[in-house]
Amino acid sequence: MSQFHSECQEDALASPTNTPSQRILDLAEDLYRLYLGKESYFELNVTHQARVSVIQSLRSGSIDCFHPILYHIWDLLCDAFTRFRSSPIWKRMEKDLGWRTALHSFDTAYDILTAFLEVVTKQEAWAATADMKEDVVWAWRARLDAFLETQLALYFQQEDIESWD
Amino acid sequence: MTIVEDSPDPEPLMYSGTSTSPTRASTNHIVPVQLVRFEKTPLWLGLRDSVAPISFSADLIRRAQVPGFLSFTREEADFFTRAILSNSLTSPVLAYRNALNRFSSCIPSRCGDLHLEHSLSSSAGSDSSIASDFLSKKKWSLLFRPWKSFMFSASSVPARTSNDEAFSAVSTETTRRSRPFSRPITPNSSSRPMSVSRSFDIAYETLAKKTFRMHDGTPIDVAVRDIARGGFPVLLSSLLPLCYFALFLTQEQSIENLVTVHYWMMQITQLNLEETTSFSFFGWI
Repeated sequence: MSQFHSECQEDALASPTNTPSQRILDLAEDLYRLYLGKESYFELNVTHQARVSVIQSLRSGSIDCFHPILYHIWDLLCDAFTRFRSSPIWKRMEKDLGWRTALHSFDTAYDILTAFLEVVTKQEAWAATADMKEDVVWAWRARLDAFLETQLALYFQQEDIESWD
Repeated sequence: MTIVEDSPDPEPLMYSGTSTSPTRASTNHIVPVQLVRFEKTPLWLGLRDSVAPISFSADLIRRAQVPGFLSFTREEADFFTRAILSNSLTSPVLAYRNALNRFSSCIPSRCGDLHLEHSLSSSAGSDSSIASDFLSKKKWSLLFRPWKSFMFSASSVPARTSNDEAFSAVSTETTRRSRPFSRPITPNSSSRPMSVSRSFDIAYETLAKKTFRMHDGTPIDVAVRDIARGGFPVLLSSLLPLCYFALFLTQEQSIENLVTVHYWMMQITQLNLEETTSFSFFGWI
């Protein structure tokens, strides 16, 4: 996404008119296929209205359609955060992590992983019954794994260091 | 041996016309020129308050004529969005982690002989290669300065001197004491409250000291209290609370946006997994 932004800036500097070049248009189409296409591996959870606005602007030949999607995603995440504040998981988080604790142990991270395993196994069973594409399910499982690894790797690394003795 | 052809794309693009059609290249990229009154909050506040509309007019609002202190060029606005997305302004934790990744080669080692050599060379007054490699405490504190000096650039409160300077001042007795020995140390609750920049300064110093004292690679997380006060942007810079949020989103079956934003954030801050995990103080032993 950031690469697309820098490419657009270079293209705007290079072109004398305000028209985006064919290469930029192809890139925008690829972005659409990657993030907004139906059952794509990186499909975003946006409203139908936002998707249609992107399609319309791509049809008209403009490429300024992806920036509003960012704001839209940010708004959706902020709404989800307000729901998260009033959910039982927030209370569980307060209980597990404490109110102002900034240092957590390996065990806390491990509890989170086990909670994830319960939820993900349920979701996969549901996906099998709902006749979803297997590769799409596996793609999301892999992305979730990568996300959890970036968040929790430091705690597990700490445990490995302690086991050297 | 059989040759299997690639099947055509089952889901073609919804709009008609392929990418090679000459009509699209010939259509001009028309920007409707109209003056939009600046009614919304500026972009980087609007992100937090979530008032940005899903339309092309968001860009027009940004380019419209606004009062001078609120007008941003496109580059400035993008810088602010990137800075807020990466939380380098609001979160000392991410900024500190970034700095560790960038300057990990400059971190002073725990070997005693190297420190001894450093002190010997500094007492002799000559610059050795080892002394130039390691950063002094003052320079090390200056590394973390930009994120807060950017936020509070107009602050009139002078920053506290580093420990080296304070120690040298005490030892040489060149400066006049602000507090006489007869007066006890009391919190000055009667005077005006502490400024925001000063409290940030203190919080950040304590944070940095804690990280250096632990030496076991334990990551410092964002407290739940700070998330309750700061909201979603603070949550994005945390480690374990963000996992709880992701758990909530997986139950809601809407985890995609968070994972994607997290991935973009890591792309922007260039925080690779290898860089994050390869760092530990035990690597120098």
